[in-house]
Amino acid sequence: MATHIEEEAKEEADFASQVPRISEVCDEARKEFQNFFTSSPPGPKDLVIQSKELMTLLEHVAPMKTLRSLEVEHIYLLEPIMKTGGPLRYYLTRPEIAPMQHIVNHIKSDLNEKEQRMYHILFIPRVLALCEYILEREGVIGYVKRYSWNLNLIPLDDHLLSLEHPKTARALLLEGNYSILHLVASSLIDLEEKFGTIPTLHGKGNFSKKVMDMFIRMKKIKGLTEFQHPQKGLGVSEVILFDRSCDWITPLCSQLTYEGMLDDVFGIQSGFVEFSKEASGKGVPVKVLLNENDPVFSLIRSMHFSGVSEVLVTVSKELQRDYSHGRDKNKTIQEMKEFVKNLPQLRTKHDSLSTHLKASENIIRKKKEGDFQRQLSTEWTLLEGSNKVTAYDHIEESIEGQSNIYSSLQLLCLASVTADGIKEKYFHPFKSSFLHSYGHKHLVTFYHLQQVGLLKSKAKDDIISSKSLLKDDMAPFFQLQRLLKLVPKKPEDFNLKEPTDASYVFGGAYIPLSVSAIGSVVSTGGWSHIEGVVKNWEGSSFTHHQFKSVRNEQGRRRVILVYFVGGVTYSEVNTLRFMEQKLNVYFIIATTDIVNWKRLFDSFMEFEVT
Amino acid sequence: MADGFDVGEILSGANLDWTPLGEGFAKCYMNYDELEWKVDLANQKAVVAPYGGSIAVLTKHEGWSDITTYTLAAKKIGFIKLEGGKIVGMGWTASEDLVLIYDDGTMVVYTVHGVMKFQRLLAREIRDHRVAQVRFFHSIEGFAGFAVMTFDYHFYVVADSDRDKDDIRVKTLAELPSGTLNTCPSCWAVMPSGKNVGVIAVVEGQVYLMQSFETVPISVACKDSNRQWTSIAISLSGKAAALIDKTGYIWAGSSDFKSQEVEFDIQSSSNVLQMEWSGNDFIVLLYEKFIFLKGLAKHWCKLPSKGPCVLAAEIDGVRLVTNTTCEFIHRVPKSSLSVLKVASLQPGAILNDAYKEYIGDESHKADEYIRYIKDKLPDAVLQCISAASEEFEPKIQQALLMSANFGKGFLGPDVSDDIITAFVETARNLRVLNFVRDPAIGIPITYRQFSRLSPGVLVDRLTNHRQYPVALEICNYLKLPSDVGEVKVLTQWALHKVRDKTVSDTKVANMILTRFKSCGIVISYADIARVARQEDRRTLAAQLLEHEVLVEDQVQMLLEMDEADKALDKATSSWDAQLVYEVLERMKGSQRTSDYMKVFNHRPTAAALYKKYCKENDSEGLVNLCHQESDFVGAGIHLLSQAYRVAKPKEEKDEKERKEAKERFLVPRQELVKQAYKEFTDGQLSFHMKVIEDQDRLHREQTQLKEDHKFDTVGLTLFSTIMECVRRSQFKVADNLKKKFAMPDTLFWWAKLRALASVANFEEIERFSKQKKSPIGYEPFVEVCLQKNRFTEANKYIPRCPPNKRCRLYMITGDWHKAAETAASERNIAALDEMLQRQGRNDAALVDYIKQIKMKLGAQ
Repeated sequence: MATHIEEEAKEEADFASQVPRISEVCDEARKEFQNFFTSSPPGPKDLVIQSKELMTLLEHVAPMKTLRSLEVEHIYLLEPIMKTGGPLRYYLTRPEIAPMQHIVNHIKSDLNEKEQRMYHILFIPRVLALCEYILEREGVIGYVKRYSWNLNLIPLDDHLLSLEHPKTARALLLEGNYSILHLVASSLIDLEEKFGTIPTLHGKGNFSKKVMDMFIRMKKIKGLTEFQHPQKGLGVSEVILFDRSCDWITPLCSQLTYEGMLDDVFGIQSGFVEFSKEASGKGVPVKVLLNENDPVFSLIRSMHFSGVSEVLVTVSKELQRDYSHGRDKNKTIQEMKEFVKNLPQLRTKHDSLSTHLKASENIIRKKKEGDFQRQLSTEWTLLEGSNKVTAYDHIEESIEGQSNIYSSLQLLCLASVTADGIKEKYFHPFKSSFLHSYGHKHLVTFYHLQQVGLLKSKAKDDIISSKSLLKDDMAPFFQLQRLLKLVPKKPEDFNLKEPTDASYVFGGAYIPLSVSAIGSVVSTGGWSHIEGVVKNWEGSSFTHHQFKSVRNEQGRRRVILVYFVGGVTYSEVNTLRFMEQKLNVYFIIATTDIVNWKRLFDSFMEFEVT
Repeated sequence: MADGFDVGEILSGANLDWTPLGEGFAKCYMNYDELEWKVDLANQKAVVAPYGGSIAVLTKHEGWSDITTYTLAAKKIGFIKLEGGKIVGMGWTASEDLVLIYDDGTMVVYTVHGVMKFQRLLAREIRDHRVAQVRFFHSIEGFAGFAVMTFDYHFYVVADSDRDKDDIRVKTLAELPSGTLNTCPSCWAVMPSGKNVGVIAVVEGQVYLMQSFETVPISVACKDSNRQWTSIAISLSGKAAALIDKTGYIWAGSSDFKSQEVEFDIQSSSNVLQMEWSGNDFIVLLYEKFIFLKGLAKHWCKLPSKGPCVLAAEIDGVRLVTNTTCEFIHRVPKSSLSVLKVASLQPGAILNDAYKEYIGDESHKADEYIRYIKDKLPDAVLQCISAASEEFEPKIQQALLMSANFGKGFLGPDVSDDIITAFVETARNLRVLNFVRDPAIGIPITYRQFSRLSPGVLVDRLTNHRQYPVALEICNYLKLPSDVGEVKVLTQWALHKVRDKTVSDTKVANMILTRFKSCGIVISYADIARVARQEDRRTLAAQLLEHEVLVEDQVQMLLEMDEADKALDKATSSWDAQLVYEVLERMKGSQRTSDYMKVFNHRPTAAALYKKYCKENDSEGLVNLCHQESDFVGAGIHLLSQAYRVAKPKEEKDEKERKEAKERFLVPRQELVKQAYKEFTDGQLSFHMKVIEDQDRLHREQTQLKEDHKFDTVGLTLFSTIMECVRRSQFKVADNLKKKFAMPDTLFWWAKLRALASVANFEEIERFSKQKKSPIGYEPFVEVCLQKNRFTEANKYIPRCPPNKRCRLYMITGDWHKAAETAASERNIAALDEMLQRQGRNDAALVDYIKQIKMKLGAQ
């Protein structure tokens, strides 16, 4: 028996050494970035960055240490006016209009004051003609060197890659700006270059389909027609493209895993969470990188929140034991040495522990403030679809009680998306109260949500959409919910601490639609076995074989890339990781950005909520 | 091993045409003879393109002239009829275009087929002073150009004649020293040293080097410094120079004239017709009666005259074209010497001998030879391979390669990769070379020239000669990357078809499509469409463009063809927003705004993108577009969102400043809201109108409030305003507002309750609760009390909550007895058990009480 376990462990380690190293994904981009700096004359350089988000992002690609070695003296946030800095200035920005105008202003004011500088602009991911046009129109193009920095997927963690393209959903659905799909397709090509050709492509949703078409076309243009084996280790056997607009339900739900709650409460930005002065308990804001390397975080990240404190207590006891063990006077020199050697590790663990203790305390406090339990039970009622009257009462209460604009929107949208619209007789009063309650400017917010389909009113005389005449519980979501068994019958009996079912991420009440479908595709090898699901689910479902998949050894774990077009939630990431064992696969998750309900709503509001 | 020819004999005879020249040998190889052309070089001027390229022959007639281009095997390629003008110079560019220089400084460029590419004036100064002489040159680096001398003895250089019309740079060289300015140089030549091309000229016996910025007199390392040089030659590499005076005295040495290698008197005062370097090895002098080869050091040889002819220097020899033959004079290369020289003891030669013995059935001798060179066998093989590559005769090549292969066999498994690669590559390249050397193609290029030229350029040449099948064959055979090989050839082929107006559009399109589709690589249809358009074949252009895979190119081309609408559709369907913007930008520049806006009819994607652009740049444009679409909601919503995007001012410290700042952002905001309202009115959107009206009334009320009661609620929502009033105990005002705005009861109760709770006015809450039946129930009352930890207050409202909630609420407030009571009345055993569990240890009385109840319940 023991040997069997050992064997398994060995196999596991063997497998782990062979999986694609996604941390290498942006090696080229790293080099490229350094070249921008090393190719210009020596001397201290200033780096002006468009936004805080980009600054955070940069830490994954060129951390402070690297920047120092590249002679970057100062880092500034891009502001409309900038009068300081040395003769070598680098801007880092996305190709957007507003930052270009700031840069133009800087240069013009420098010219007026006879300040001589060399200007370089690094565009992520490429220089756009529009930006050049602005520079040209303003007559400053001659002073600026422009570079495209093809930074696409950034490895945020062991399993997680992200384009970190902000507000993808808005761009795709509201603005009709599909450039991001190009980026997705070309990032797939880059991935193939690194990890070998991916034989099979599955996909769900129209944007996914478009990505695949572009991907195939781009490959053809580049002449990449032959099968390319991975440079080393295992290749990715299939990719599943998932279009966010095929599952709005999941990102609308309040998250309950530790990682998800951190994101909901504090907001995780490119893998970093920032605790305010108050929340950190240290008198200063603290920025923490969250990933598998964090010894405490890795234990609790995907747990349901209710189990977290127990684990933290255990860890803290272990730590105490380890420390006291160290203080034990009856120790040999050898043991002492060992202890000292492990001390830094203990220190890190200790730091991490106190961070997460503080954070979970904060989450508990925050969640007590509002009526979180009622919010959850309303969400669950809506998902279950049985007791709509109670749910609608709660929605009304949430709006009128001004509990929180986001919570109200969450419930409204969830009610609408699950039932494929809210009947006009409810919708109208909801809207009126909402505007009275949160301000009439939210006419705009409503308009946008309606445009993208997150909110829908079902008027009686609405003959345009005949579907809406169906009974609510005939709505597509409920069909899917039943077919895929997304809502377990008895959530009360659920063991959240040692879950056996993926629904644990939402307290045993719901398995994310996206993940459940992905699971089916992975285990059955396509869509054909879940015909009913395909039939009831809007957006195309497809499978495309680039090459006959090379079956390695029978029963060997496959490496599968899941690419979310339009964003993924941490809950989904956690669920996928949870399902790896059961499905006997290794997931690499890629996404355009990481979403939650808050960022989603923010992207559809034109103004900040005060 | 019976190969149909006697290898031994071939190898023995391979050196028969060598002419001894000092320690080495020169060789004159006849590439083609019995040329079938009617050219007499005595009367017609001819120039040969480098690397075995074409030859152009100029014929002068009365009042006009013509030029015919041929391959070196005398196959006619093109014909140009010229009228008027005096041609001073004629020569080739590196990519085999023909350049003519007229005395008025005009430069005309033709393709090898005689199609004029462009003509331009070199420089005004050149025109003013007229062109006296022109010298063409091509450098070992692969670029070619020419130098011009005007009649006032100024020099101009074009270092790269391959450029496009407007990219050609004419470089003016520094002048000759003032004393000699009016004297015609007795001879001059171009000095190609890297990109810095200069001219070497001899004026009154003095040699000068002229470059862009200076003219330097150069002293020639020669015993007699007063020689009157009449001819000069510089080798292609620019390393060696040769001078000859009218007495036939030759000086040759380094091109800085500092070291002399050759001093020789040819003892012939007849005029030297042409003098060229063969590589850097020896000089070829062309006289009327004979041809003289002068090697370095003392050696020389004299060849009989071959009649009127023309010389052309190559990197490794000199090409000699006569009226009937095309020959190549060059030094016998080292490897050939080693292997083929009589009595050579080099390993290659011995391997060769061994092979000869072996096929002569004297294998024991062969064995002996092999054993003799055992240690040097790899060298021997390489020598044979290299010698093979230097040969023109396929039979000799083959024999030498067989020798090499024989030797290779003895190396066994230890044979190095270098040898294998050399063998395979040489064999492969020789096949290509023999192919193109065939008179049908007529490019007698040497192996060295081929290596220098690169296979890609050779393919270009063939394409240029319209030898498309051959070019394709070579691309495939040499496995050239498709972008330098197949794609280029097929593109040129297609362009040729497009230019051929005798074939109909449909036919051409079909031919091109079938061919391109069958090759399975991506070829730019846009490039071909562009030419079709230039050739005024619009339908063909459109047909071809349909098939372009690179949307960027397709769109670009459609724009060029003034098919903006189509371009927009293509850009939109590519889903590349950037491309759409570019098209829109171009259209905006070229159309009237009203026309421009029409573009968006039936193009929702383009419209959406345009709207996004407008949102940030052109608010008015967006509103206009919405009007066009009768989308009043869209317009109104946009204006409204603009209103709330007006940046809120930062907190100013000064009270006055703060006030001003607030006004600065409130005024434009109200203006925008007003505009939005107008849109809603136009669209008869009663709901939206009412929202704005309400907001406007609210604003007025708020201003009034500020005046009457001195508290500022301007900008707040109705809900917050009411809360503010309640907080300040202005209940009447709050009630009034509720009535005026027909605020739902529920909403009002929430507002009031929250406000009261926030100021902890529990007395008022109690009063409020008794006002009438709460429309929001009484749970919220309990809740607000709980939030402030006022359990006693909370207890007051619990009895009015729904019965099923009461028990749990009591448990929260900590009134366990009440909780137990409630549970009892509901027969809720579970709740009772929970209480026991939670409070069991602390509260004995409670335990008793609950037990009693349970008993009672149980009894019942």
